[in-house]
Amino acid sequence: METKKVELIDNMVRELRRGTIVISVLSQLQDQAYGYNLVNSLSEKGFNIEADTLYPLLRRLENQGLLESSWDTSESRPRKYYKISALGQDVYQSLLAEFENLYRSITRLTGSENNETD
Amino acid sequence: MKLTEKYLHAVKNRLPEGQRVDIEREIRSLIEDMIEEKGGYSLETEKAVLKELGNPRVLANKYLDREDYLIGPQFYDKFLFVLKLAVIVSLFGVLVASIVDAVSNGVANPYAFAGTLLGELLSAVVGAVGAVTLLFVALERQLERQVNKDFFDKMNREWDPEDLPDIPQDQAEFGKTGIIVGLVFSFIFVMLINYFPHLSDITININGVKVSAPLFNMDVYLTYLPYLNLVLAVQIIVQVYKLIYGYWSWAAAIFNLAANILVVVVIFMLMGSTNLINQDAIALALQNIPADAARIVTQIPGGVKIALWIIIPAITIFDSAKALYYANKSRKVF
Repeated sequence: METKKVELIDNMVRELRRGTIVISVLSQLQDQAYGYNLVNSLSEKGFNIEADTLYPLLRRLENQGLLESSWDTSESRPRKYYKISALGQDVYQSLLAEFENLYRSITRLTGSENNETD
Repeated sequence: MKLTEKYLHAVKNRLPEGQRVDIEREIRSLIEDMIEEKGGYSLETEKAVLKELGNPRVLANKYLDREDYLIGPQFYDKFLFVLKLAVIVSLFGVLVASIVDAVSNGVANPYAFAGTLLGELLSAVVGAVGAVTLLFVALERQLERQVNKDFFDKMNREWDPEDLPDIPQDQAEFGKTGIIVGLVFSFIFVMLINYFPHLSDITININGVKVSAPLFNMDVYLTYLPYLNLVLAVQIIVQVYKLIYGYWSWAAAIFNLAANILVVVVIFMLMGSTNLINQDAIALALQNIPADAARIVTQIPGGVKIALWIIIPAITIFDSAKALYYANKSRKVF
C-alpha cells in the first residue's frame, strides 16, 4: 500500500513538473550555456533534471526555433552552446505570465480550503 | 572509453541519418563532462555515467519523441479481441477441416495425420497472429499521423460549432455481432482457400471404389488465389475499422466502396474464367445421376451465373450506398 502511494505521488509530481521544465530551461538560457552546465545550474537552484531528459529537450526547443545553438570547438572538448532566441523570449514571457496566473489561482484555491478546515 | 563508443553507437543507430553526427558529438562531450565531474576516468566511473544516462534505446526514443510500443493503449483491447477471434477461428477451422478431410478420405497413418495436423494448427496460429498484428501496427502508425494532423488543423483554425458531427443514431448498424460474423467468415474463408482447397473435391462411390476429382483446376486456381486473399484481407480491414470507429466516415465509406468494387471484379473474373472448373469433376458428379436429371443439373450453372451477375452487384451497390449515406449523416471525413 505504502509503495503504491509513493508510486502514485511520484507519477503525479512528474506530471506536475513536466509543464514547468520548458520555463525553467528557457529562464537559464538568457546567456548561452551548454547542456551539462545547464543540468548543474538548474539543480543548484533546486530544479533537478536528468541529462537524458534535458538534451533531447534542448534539441526539440531548437527545432521549434525557441533556442539558437553554436558549437564551440576552441576548447579541448567541443561543446554545443544554446541561447534563447527572440521567438523563445516571447514564448518564455507568455509561459511565465501563465505560470504566475496558475500559481495565484492555486494559492487562492488551496488557501480557502485551509480556512474551511480551520 | 570502449563502453562509451558502444553506447554512442547504440544511440546513433536509432537516430535519423541527418542528426547522428551532431547528437553523437553532443552526448560524447556530455559523457566526458560527467566522467570528469566524478573525478576523472576509470572503468567504474564510465560505467556509472552510462548507467545514469540509461538505456540507449530509451535515450534515442527521447530524441525521436516517439512512444516505445508497437500497438498503443487506444487499440490494445481491440487488438486482443480480434487476435483471440482469429486464433480461435483458425484453430477450430483447421481442426474441423482436417477431421472432415480424414473422414472423407480416410487416414492411412494416424501418427502422420497427427503430425500434419499439429503442423497445420501451428502455422494457422502463427499466420493469424502475424496478420492481425501487422494490420494493427499499420492502423497504429496511421492513427498517430491522423491525431497529429487533427491537432495541427485545430491549432490553425478557429473552432466552429458548425463542425460538430451529428450524434450517430444508427450505431446499431455497427452491431458487434455483425462484425464478428463478418470476421469469422473472412477468417474461415482465408483458411479454406489457402489450406484446404481440396475439400471441394468431388468424390463418388462407383461400385464400392471411391473416385474423386478436384472441382477446380489447381494451376488455374493458384493464379486466382492471391486475388481471393486480397479481397478477404480488404474485407477484414473494413470489419476491423468498423469495430474500432463505430461509425461511417467519408474515408471509411469510400474505402468500403473500393473494397466492394474489388469483390465484384474478382468474382466476375472467377465466373468469367472458362477453365477454373475441372470438367472431369462435373462429369464425375453427373455419373450417378439419371440422364434426365443430369440434363437439368447441367442447366444449373448457367442459371446460377445469371443470378450472380445480378445479385452480387445489387448487394454491393446497396452496401456501398448505405455506407455513403451514413457517412453523409456523420459528416466526418475520417
